[in-house]
Amino acid sequence: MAEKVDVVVVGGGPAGIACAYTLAKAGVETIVFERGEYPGAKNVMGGILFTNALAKIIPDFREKAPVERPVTKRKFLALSEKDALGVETGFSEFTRPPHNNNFTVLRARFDQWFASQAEDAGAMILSETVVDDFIYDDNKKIIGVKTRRDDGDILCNCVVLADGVNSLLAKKAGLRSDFKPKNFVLGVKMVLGLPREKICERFALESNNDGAAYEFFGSVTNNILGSGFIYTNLESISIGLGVAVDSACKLGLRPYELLDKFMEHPYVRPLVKDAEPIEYSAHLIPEGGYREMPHVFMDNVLVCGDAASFVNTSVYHEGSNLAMESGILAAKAVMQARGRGDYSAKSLMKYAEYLEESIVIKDLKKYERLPEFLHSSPHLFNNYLDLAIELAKDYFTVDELSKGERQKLMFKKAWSRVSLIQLMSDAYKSFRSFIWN
Amino acid sequence: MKKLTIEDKVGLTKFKVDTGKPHIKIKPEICKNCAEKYCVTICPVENYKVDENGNVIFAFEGCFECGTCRIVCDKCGLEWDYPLGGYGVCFREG
Repeated sequence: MAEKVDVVVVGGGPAGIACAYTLAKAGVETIVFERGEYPGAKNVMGGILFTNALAKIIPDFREKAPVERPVTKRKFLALSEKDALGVETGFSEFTRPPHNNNFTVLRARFDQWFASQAEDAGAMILSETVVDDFIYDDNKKIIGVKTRRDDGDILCNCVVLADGVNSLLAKKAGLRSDFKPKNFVLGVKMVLGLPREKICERFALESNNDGAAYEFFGSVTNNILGSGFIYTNLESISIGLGVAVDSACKLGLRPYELLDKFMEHPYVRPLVKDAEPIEYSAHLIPEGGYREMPHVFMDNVLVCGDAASFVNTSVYHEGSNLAMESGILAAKAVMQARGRGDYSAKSLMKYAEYLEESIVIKDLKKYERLPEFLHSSPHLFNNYLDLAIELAKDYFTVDELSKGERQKLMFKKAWSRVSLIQLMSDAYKSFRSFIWN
Repeated sequence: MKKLTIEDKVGLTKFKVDTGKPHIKIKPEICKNCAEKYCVTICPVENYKVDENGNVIFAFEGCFECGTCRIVCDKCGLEWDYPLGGYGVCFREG
């Protein structure tokens, strides 16, 4: 006879651990299965951890968690082959706690710490354990999981799927359709070692309690949908990029070649000069948005985090906070179901209601048009970024041409590259996708 | 910074290889006849290669388990699973 627990959580990332932590704190018997050697061993993000959800369950995380630096300075840059044009933010409020809830992290370290907190709260974390399938009762209801271990069957009242972007289990449970390339971005990344003082110098940071986040668009992804990034950690920098999988495939782009090229861009080269390569990694990001979300509940099962595709596909790149929020809300729904002794879909539907009331679904809904719009408008990255950089360069050029003549040439150049109708159509669609839907 | 080859890059990352037990298996006949072979260019560690006869050669060591090959393959040319618990890629930074 297989052992039985209250709740099985599959996956020891932000969603699964937030869920397990919340359940364990409330005294619910919870076991987390993590396939990596330790929680975080399979996990990668850029990465900025958005800590608004974390602060709800561990308000003093800043003193305890291995976060790297708060993000106190941001840059957004368009790149062409050799040039760059950008805007920078430096909001003094963000240099003070809670730092706009933005901290750079290295996931292998952060996730281990987060899991240890859940363990201290009473959850059982079992690493090196793959969950392969479900156990069903005679009515085809899920009543447990099969792990790839000897005597690895575990019965439970409820399974929380937080098994990440490649959730094979959500597919097995019939909660999602096939994985389509257009709904995924592939991220590749290098961690490069640099002394703390060099990081402060290069990124103009006042102290080790300041950090920078640079986002890059344009040639960094060969002008396809995606973006590049450089984030400062305490004594390393994370540099990488994400590309839409379908577009990259169609153009035959090799992601690591794009990364090489990115690191050699004249704007980027001095930032990574003499840095020591520490680790190379890659991970998928679910970017299908609201319209491509799987079902997130059924009899005895809930889905959280990347497995549920909870990523804000706009410029915010929020995912870690939505993962944790969804984990907390799943725990809340499970506790209610437990109180009723009813884990049916009807009872667990509460989870979907909580999500609807939270920023998870509100933000996903707001940007629901965005993935389709960006996929159907490859020229946005192609035409406008290069043109904007060229026009800015023209504008700042000092030579014998008068400013009036220069600006006339600029207008001529702009209208030869973009038609008024195209511009108005793109402006309207951008407005609908980014601002007002 | 000195440019690293893909082998140099992957060499930085830690793996625990489950020797002789590939977690991804390709179906050589299907892969050979696949016109697109998206897996070959998109794989971030270049684990898929094409030999002079057009056969796809796959090595599972050094796989990041990102799953990209799984989602780009529309010919059912591969069986994709996770490695045994504790095996495969082990990010120390992440």
